Amino acid sequence: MVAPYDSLLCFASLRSRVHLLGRRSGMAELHIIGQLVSASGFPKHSLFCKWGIHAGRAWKLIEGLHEGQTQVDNPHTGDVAYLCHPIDVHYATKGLQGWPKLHLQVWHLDNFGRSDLFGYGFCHVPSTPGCHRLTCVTWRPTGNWQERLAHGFVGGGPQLKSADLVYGGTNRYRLHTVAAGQVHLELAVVLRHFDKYGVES
Amino acid sequence: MHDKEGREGEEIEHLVDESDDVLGPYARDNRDMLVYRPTKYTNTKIQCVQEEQILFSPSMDPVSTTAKIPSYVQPRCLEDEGLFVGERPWVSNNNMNIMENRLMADPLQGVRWFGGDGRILSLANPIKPNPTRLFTFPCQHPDPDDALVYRKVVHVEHDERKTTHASRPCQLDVDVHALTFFHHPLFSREHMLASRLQQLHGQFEARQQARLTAFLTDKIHALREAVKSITGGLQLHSPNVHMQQQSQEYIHEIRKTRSLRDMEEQKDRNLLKSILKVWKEMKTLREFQKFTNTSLKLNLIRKEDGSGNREEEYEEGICEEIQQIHDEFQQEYQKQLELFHQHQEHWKSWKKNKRMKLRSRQRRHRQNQMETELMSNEEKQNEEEEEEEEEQEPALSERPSEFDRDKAERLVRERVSQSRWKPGQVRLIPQLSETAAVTLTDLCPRVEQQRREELQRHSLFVRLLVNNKEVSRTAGHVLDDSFHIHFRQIFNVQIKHWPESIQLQVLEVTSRSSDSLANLFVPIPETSVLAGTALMQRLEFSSEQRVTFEHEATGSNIPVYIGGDMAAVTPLTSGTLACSVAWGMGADGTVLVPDLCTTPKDLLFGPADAITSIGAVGVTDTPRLARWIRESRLDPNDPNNATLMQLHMVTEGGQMTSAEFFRLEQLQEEFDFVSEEELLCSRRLRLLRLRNQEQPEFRACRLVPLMDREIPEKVFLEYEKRQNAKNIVDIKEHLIPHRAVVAQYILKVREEVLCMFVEVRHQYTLSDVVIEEQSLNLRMLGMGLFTMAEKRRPLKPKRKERLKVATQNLSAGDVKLLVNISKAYNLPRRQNTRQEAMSHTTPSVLNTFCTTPPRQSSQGEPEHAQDLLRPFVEVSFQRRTCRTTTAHGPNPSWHEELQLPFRALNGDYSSTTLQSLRDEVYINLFDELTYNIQEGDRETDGETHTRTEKVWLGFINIPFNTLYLQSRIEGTFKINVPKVLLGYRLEQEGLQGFWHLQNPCQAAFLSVYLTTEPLIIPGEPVREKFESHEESRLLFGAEAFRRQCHAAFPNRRLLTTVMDITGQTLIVTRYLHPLKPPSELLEINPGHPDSTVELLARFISLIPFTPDSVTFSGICDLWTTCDQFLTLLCGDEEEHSVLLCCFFLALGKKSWLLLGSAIPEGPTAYVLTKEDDMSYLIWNASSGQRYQQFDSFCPLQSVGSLVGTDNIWFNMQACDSPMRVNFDVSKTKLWKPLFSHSFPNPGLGSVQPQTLSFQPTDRSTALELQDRIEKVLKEKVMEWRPLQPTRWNRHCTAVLRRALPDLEFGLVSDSKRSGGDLQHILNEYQMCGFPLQMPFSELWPIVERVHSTGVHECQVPNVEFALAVYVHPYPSNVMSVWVYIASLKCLR
Repeated sequence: MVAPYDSLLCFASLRSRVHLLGRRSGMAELHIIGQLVSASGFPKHSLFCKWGIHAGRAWKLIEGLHEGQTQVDNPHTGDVAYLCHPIDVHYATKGLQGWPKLHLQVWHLDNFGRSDLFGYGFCHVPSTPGCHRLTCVTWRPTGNWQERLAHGFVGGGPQLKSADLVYGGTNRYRLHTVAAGQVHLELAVVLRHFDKYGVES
Repeated sequence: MHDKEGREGEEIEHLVDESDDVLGPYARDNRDMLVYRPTKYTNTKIQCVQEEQILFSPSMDPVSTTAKIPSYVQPRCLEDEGLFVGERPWVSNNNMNIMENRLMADPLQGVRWFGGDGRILSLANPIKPNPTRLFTFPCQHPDPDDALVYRKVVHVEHDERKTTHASRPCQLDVDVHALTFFHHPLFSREHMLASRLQQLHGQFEARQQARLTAFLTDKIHALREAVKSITGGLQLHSPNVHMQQQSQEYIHEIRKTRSLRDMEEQKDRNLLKSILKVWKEMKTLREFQKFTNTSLKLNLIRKEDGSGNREEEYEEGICEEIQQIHDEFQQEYQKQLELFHQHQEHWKSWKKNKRMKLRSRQRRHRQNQMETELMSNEEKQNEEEEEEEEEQEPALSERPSEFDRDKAERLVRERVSQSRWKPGQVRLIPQLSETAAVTLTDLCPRVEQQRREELQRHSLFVRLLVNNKEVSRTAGHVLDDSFHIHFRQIFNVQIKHWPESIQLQVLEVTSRSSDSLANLFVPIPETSVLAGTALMQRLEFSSEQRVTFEHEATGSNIPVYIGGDMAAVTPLTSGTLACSVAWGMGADGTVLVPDLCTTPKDLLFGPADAITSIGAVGVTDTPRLARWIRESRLDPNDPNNATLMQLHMVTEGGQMTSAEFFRLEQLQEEFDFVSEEELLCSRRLRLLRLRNQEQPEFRACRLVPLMDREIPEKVFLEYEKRQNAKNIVDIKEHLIPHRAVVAQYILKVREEVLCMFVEVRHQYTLSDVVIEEQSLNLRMLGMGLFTMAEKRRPLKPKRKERLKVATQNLSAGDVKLLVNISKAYNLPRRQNTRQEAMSHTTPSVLNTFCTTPPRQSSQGEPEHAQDLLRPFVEVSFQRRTCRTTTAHGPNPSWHEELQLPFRALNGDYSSTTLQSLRDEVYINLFDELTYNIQEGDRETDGETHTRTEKVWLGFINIPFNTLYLQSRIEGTFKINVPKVLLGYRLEQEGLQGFWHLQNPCQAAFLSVYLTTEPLIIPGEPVREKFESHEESRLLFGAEAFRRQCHAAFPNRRLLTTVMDITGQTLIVTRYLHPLKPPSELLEINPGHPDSTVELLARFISLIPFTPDSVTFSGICDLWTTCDQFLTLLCGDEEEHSVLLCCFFLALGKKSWLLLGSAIPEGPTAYVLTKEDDMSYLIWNASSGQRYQQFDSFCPLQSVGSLVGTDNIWFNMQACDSPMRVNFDVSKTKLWKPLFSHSFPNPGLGSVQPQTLSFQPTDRSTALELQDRIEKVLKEKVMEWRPLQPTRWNRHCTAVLRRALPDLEFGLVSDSKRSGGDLQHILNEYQMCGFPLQMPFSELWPIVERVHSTGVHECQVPNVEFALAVYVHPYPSNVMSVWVYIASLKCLR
């Protein structure tokens, strides 16, 4: 798919063409079907994941849940926590801007029933139709040395005040982060009617 | 080998030689091309000298002003001239001097850099006090603190009560400060004057403070200076068009300002005059009435004119004005003169032309005479026109007159003397003081004393209403002589949503009455208005109420004469209320403003632009604003006006867009495929979204077409209709306006509840998701072994487990309703023959009805004369009917299974829809009659024609909803037999043995078994996790009690907490509270407590019954309080029982709410009363029936718990059948109480109102309703008989109509009155019909009931019908509807 972000002029002409022929065609739709398969590479097991899909204002959620939380998986062997959480969302859109992004938070549930943040991550939903295996790397804010010390012994740690920062890039440069593990996803993307608006797919 | 080595050696040598040759010359010669030089150096002294020739260093000495401006110009001071001079950017003096010196060095151009004031031209300081760009942190010092927050690891505990989203409370601070009256009915004349004086003085003070006159005078001076400087410049330079224009403008401005100044000064003088006048009046009034009422006193302070040159200035002003008038006149005069000359010229030329033309015409005339015939008419006409034109002589204007200086001066002086202070004139400054002594009351005349006494009796308070609900009120304040009240009260109003209105009501209380003086609507503050910073608003009010008094007080809205020669004035009560409204601040400094999402839409998208930024809130008329900007000539350089000027420029540009949006994503629109509207037009999108919202119309829709064109537009029609109908109260459908409004209200509540439930439904707990199988324990193992060892009993019937189907797997046509009719007892018997009937002598209506046989036929005797009855059962459901075979006798048995198809609404088989189905299963009992038709001599042929007819005997109706919720209904039900059944009689003698003993009352019974095939599992009720105002200790105690009881007897019904209509959880006992029944009903049978009680039960049973699952879409059980119940006029068993129980408590009966299960309702609520003879009565409030405790046909099957006014008892006895239950709640072993010694009742208040008010129902409404029902029913009967004509017997209808009120009365009171006589109708016709009685809720149940009787199905030729309706009104719009329907066959 070619997203003509670069040339406004080109798009404007394209848009006028679309207006001529696209009046009768249906709306552009996007299905995201898949699962949040697993999380790996984290220092401890017993993980769960909070996820959400953020889309721009042009996108309308028709059906499905756009955010959720998985169960806790505590693998006995290996360091991969299998979550297999289904994702099934259906969007309609009037424009390309704000293509859906997936944002994740990996949490750890410890033996005392406390939950602790292990990582933030985000990835774009693929724009090519078909099945995709995605790996989303995650990161975690570090904090100062006291906080790091506290984190090592009693858990807890700095968390983002607003989760928007995960998928918005504006203020990220101010953070000090360390790498956390990865989250593996399988997403199938189904597009509809995008070709009618001049977007090749 | 050797050779090789030798050759190699040669090669190396050769290579060496070659390399020497190649590099040789370069290696040798490069020194020749280079030259070494030392570093170049110039002597510093020389360099200085050289530089000094080029450079110029300005000195730091200040430059004299005269040097900087042309010598002929005086230095100006712009600020004094009134021009706006911004603050210059700060530059150090040294630098400034250097700069000036540097500029002055240029002899030609240097001067241009300086302004008229001799300073360097500069713009105002461009540095803004506040930064407009966000401060960004430098990258080297990242400060993560403002993006991160340190959180400890927390153990999350799910508090179920917190799951509902309670918005945080917000606070509105309403400060009611003071109230001042401009006029009050108790004002004396003096007060009126005083009030006027105060107002005038207030105005005067305000004007003095504004100093408009002085300001305008200064402005004139400045303008004059400016004109002077311009004219000075004009004389020196060549006349400049721009400057000339400017001076003209200034002069114009001067004139305007002067007239403005004069006007203002005149106003000041007039004000002073009127103050003096009022004061004088007041003084005369005080003298006249010989007492003083107010402490007001006016002092006049003389003030000599301070400035000496006032006279000079005054004269100068006059001279200048005259000069200006002269100038203008001259200009005008010049113009006039020019015009005059032009006119004269014109006139002269015209004269000349005329003369010429005259001459030529004469010549032409001569020619014409020769060729008159040839000339066409047209030309003639032209000529005539020409002549006409010429004949119009240009008017000669008069020569303009010269300027008359004396006259002008006289005029100017006259005007000025009127408006301005004369120089040297003494100025008077009025000062008000409250020092006058008020005459003591004893010294006043009688009328005044009365007035003052009256004043003491009046007190005022202010009531605060938010959203039209009273929130609070101030303390009452007694009026005093000053008519000024300080309330000084601040109300903190806690709110959750954005308020709709804030209203302050000023109320006046006297000993006799209280009335509202004014209703003031206070604007809802902007979110930025906070407590502490809010400004006091003065809200003016006035009332047109007419008040008159006998005594001295002037009253209101009546003409009053003040003083001797004054005209009458009509004062209206008026005043101002000083108050302020602001948003409160929390303890932590947060502003307690409701969330923006709850604010109304227009507020959200208000004009957030320049207009609001200048503080002009709510300015919407932008063109007017623009005009004002243009006219007021704002200084465009002043930064304070910058936003306004910008706005003005935008307006000028023709695009006045008060920004309606803030573009978060620029270029979004350019990149869009389609516009928002187009996208929303997409039918597929709309359908998908509506389905996702679970709108009832689309809930069942599973597959949505892929293409828009495959979705017909009419899909949405129904939905749109419903959306539109939401706000329209349809009176037609509901017959009574009140019911329509109620229906509307219920819809609203239902929607709200639905919204709440959608949230709750998506919150799962662990038990919702995980089903944990019980692990096998020893007891279960033992039971299993026991069953294996059990004796085989092949003859014992066993119930086969049927397939259970969850509702989501159902589709249309799958479901069938199974009705198993087993047997009936004690059916009404046919009466004996007519002859016997005639022998009866009692003429009462009831007897007459009973004694007329229906099967009397003129043709012959029915076949089975000996048969007492040939009954059969017909089941009808959703307009489909199915019948059993005919049985014999009054105690027949059928044992037949009937199947009826079932279809759900919209094909939606989800549990919520099924629960809210309102269809009913009617089980009708008929008697079959067979006649032989003998036509002529046919009988001899051995052929018999028979005709069968059915006569309706009674019915049972079971709502499908009940069946669905219980999945099967089994039992013996009482048949609802009409009160009057022609030709039939319920007999007690027919009962034998056991039945006779057990059942003393007259009734017929039918045993049925109902279920659905396949078995539908009802959806799980939603757990009610709602917020509550109850103490948590109580809630936990109640929950613990419930758990204990449930563990002991899981099947017995117990309710400790219930939900009220707003979704709050309450303890049940709060619903029981003695409430006085309507007095109308108590007065009917004053001496008979028993019949009164029955009447009350009947009254309550007439309130329509609607299960909550229908009203609130099967979500939950909401309990309404009695007043809500009476307003809504619908409710389920609980509401009926609660009301009945409350009535009984008020009558002093010992009564409880009995929670248990009954047939067919399932879990239900009854009322238990303890009679005087220590027996217990069980009341079914929704049907109005009562049963003895030992009544075997009592529908109540199990007694779960009892609820009293102060406690809840759970049945701990081994048996729960009412017959075997001991109702003595004092025995704690048998009845486990909720509140005990260890857990005492904290004295819970009641949620019920203190008293119920019953509006008497309008009889005319009932009559109207009666007519409408009758009309509708008649239409329906005709509709149901499409093939035969339907004739209405009007005579019979009239008789029936007269009879119906007696039936109602017979039920209501004990006395049986005799009604109209039907005898002669029965002599002529064979009549088959009966009265039906039902509560009134809507029309369709009545229609349905009439249809189910099947009277309209009579196929006999020449049949006639009679239909009468009677509506009996009870208080509070409760109606009892009687329908008498009958078919008549002519006997002759």
